[in-house]
Amino acid sequence: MENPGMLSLLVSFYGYFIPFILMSVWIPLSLIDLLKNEELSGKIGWTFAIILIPLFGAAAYLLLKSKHIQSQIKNAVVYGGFGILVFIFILSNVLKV
Amino acid sequence: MEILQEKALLSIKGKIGKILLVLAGLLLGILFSYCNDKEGPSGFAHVLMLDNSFSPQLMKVPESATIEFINVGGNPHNAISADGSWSTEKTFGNLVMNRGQKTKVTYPQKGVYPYYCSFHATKDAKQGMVGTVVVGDVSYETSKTGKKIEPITKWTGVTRNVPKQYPTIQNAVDAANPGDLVLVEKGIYREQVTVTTPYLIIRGVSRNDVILDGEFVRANGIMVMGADGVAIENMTARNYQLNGFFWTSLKGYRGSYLTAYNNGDYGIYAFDSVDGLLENSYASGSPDSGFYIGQCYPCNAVIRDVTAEYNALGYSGTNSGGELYIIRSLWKNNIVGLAPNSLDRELLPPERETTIVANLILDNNYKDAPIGALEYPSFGNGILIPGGRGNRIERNLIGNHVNNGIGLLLNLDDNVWLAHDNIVKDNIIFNSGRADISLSGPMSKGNCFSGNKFRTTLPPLLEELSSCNGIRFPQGSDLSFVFGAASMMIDAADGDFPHSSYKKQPIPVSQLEMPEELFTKSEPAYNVFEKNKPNLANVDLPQEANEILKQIGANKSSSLGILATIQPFTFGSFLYHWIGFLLPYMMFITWVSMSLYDINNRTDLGTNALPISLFVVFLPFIGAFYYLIFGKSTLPKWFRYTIVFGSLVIFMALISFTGIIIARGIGGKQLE
Repeated sequence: MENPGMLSLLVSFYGYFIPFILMSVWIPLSLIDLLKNEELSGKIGWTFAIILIPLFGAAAYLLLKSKHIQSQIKNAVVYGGFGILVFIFILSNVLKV
Repeated sequence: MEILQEKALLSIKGKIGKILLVLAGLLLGILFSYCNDKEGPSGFAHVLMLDNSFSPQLMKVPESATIEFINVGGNPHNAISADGSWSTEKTFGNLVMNRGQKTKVTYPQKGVYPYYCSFHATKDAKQGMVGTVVVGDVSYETSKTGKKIEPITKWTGVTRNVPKQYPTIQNAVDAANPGDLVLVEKGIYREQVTVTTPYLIIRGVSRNDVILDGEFVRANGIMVMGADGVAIENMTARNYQLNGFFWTSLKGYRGSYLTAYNNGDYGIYAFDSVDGLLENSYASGSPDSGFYIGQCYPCNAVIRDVTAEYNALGYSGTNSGGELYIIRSLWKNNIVGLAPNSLDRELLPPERETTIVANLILDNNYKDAPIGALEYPSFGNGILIPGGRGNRIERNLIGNHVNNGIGLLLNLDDNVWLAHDNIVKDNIIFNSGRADISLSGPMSKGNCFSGNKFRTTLPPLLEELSSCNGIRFPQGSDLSFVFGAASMMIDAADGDFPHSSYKKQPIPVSQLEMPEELFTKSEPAYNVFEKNKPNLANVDLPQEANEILKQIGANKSSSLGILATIQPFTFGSFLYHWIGFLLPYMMFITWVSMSLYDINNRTDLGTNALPISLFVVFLPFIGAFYYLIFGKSTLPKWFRYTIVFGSLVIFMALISFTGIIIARGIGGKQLE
């Protein structure tokens, strides 16, 4: 029985928390934006979507509807987040974590 | 003004680089120390000093191994080699070791070292409280002649009858030659038997009426020490200070139709021994485990058709595995059904490759169990794998546990032992308080879950994301159960946990006698594993499972998931569990959301907003910490320092508190 490599353990640890990290960043960002967003219709619907559809609700709001978050930050946390998620997914299947 | 900000930014970038390097170094350090293989054998052996004997009396270790001597008795003790080459006085610094004190002795030279306690034995290490350490691959025979005996595969035809020919079992065993049968008539035998002659068959005429009684003053019922191939059949051992039936440092053992109850350490126990079978036996009322196979790899052993109840642990095996099968048995009303585990305090860590198939595991929430502080955190679980690797857990029926049906987690000793590569398939698990299946952190690799029937798993989607054949996504870092177990450790360290004495456990009902036809078939324990290796495809659940299967679904459980409190509930453990588990999340969310809010409001960052956001979000804790403290944030200083250092201080206090309590409270085992 081999010891699991350092990379596997690191990926397993970091990867586990990535969805939590994304949720805890995306949800408050979208809610703050939603509060300030005068033009948005169906705010109650969006609020439900953001808090009840894990990851995708908040991501959809940030990409499609947000007005008050700098595009740089949006790109970093949403596209960057998805990128890391995909990267971890590939790594964990290659490494069989 | 702008220039200043430019400088600040440059300095942020420089510092980010440095911090990244430091962080990477830290992580690598932690991981490297985990993976680093030390020189010499891993783990260490331990010898208990009791009033007044050593246990185990014979300890075989590889060259340059370490043995830890722990005084768990009430008297002062020591251990001194008869040839003067080593002693606990040299390592401990005092001839007197009192209760709870321990010291480690390392053995660089191979050889045979008889030793003694200077307070309770003769200096030639022959009489009284004496033991033997065998280091390395040297020949050491316990038999009368001191010579190696060729395996004896058949009964010699000689029967030695107790009490007709010999008044005690010990007399008969001492007189017997390898391959003889010692036949014990009905009666209560107030003695402890030490067997050093190989290939004996020791048989009672009646399982329920041939009783060895330790009267809570003798150490072991029958101890087979270094003698290969001894079979023990059809008798009962009760009320011993240590073990009912005990095989140590040998090859070939068999225990059939045995009953062991209310013994002070283990019921039926094989240590540092290979090629064995424990079958159709019953063990109850032990403060460690009913059945135990420890410190062997590969063990080449089978436990089948046994029952364990009213113990702390039904089955426990420290650092054992490899061709080790536990099948078709009943584990109920212990504090945990089965708990194969990895620890440094025995040789050969980690525990690995134990196969647990078709067992019935029920109601292991026994509050009057004779447990110690060390065992308490495993309360209320069906199968626990603390730090085990490559175990197979298949087709078991597991129900009614207040914490978890099956739980994989770390074990903490001198090293951290993580659970990896365990296979959990096709089990039926029902009515668990926290989760039917729980995979817990802080890290793990390769554990897989498929085809189980259950209602709850922690984390959720365990079978979807950690299946045995399909896709994988990291799932092994949930810390809720780790903090839950730690909260129980803290309760236990204060002595604040439900427990009772092994002397007061229920006396078992009459057990099934050995079938008549086996009386005509007398065989020493030679090549036991080869003859009894199970064909797993043909192994079905015990009879009792049929009734249970019909009732499943009648009583539904509900679970709060990661927030479900550990049972038994105490307010202290609840607070500790929730705060310990949730505080890191709260810290992360607070730090990151406040940082991003601030970054979003700043116009001075320009294109640097992107890398800084990435840094803050995806380098957990470090990124946001760095930004809030050094990042020229526009948030007021008092606010930043409160959310950062305030929560850090509380978290560090919690961790130090845990460390101190655990270091102080959880040592070796306590024997009454």
